[in-house]
Amino acid sequence: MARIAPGNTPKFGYFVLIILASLFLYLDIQYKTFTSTKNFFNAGLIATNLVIKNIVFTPISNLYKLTNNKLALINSNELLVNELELSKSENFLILNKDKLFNDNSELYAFINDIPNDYPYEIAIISSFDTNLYKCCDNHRLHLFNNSSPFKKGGTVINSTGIIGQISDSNNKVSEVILISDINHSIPIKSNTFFCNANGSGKPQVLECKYDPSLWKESFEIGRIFYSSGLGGIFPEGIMVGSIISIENAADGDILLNIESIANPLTQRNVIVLYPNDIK
Amino acid sequence: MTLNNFIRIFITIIFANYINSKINFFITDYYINFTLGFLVFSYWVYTLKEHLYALPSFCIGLSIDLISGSPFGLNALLFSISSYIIHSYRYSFKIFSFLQVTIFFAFLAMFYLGFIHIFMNTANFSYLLIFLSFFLNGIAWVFIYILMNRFKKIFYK
Repeated sequence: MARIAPGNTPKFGYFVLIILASLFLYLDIQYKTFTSTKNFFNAGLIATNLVIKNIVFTPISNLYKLTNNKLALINSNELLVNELELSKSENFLILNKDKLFNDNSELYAFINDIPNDYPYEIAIISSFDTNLYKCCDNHRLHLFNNSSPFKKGGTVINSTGIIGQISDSNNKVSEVILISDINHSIPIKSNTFFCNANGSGKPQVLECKYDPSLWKESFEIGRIFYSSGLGGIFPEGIMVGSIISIENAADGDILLNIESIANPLTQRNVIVLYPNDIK
Repeated sequence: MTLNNFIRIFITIIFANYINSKINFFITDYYINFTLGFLVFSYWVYTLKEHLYALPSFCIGLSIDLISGSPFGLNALLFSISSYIIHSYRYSFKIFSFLQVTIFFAFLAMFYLGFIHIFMNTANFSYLLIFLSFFLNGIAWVFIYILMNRFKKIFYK
């Protein structure tokens, strides 16, 4: 039988640090003890990135652009792209105005250019770990705060639909939990059927599990689901997605896999809504 | 080990981790994942004469936990354990061929990836991804070994 060759590896140090790392891991998973530390670090990292980008990279990049006499053209192009993204989001907002706001007068106030009564805020995604989004269960992104932190529970949309909600906020950035996150749930409906669609941990896929003895309704691939408005966070009647597959779960329940129409990877500009006036 | 050398090692691992996250975004759909940051760390533990023992491994792992947004302590734990395993087999490696060493590190990367996915992707854990990544990381180890050897000759003092 093969044996490990003798060496002078210090076992005590390893033992202590492995126990310490295990303790950290347990505390973080069980009690989320280090969440504030991680958020603080993330905020610092994002702010540093921004400063470095503005002080170092942007002047170099601008210098290069100036030498090519394209600066104005590039700036106007960037401006147009941002305007286009925002107008797409605003278009979505206007198309769904009856469903998004309890009090439509606020929306009309916006349309009439009264800036103090905005029922929504425009935000830019400051960081989005797309690798984690693709590989893992936790789907989060961060937004730069405007003048004040976004309130918890604010609905985040882009031009494709509802992408998530504000889950945490500090002075610099706000964390958004996406609807496909494993810990997220959104109440949805289709005709007379209601359920809570949980995030599956897969990009753009939600899961809706129900007991067929309680709900006699039959489903087919492609059936469309809308937000039900139950729970008071998300506005009612917004299209969430459609069924892509139907599975029989081990406990006899039926599992509907719903592909969300909203894709968080499409644009940098998003809108934070407070449809129930929680702001 | 001097602080300068430690910083060089740290930067290479962080850089590899960054590249890793960029590449994995595109290849995850095909049930394969690189673990470049971990392989670069393994390379340093394997080749350094000064030895990367428990404390540097723990600190590097903890930093990666902070940067990558993984549960706090996960990479610290896995890096410390990996460092211990590599050091335990330090003398055995001398009688191994390069192919055997490659298989060893491919296995180590596979276990690392498996543990990461157990904690971070529990609902969608895929054995296929772990199995296919074994081969991918075996190939990646060969390239990392060659590249890092060159880097070490030029930059590491």
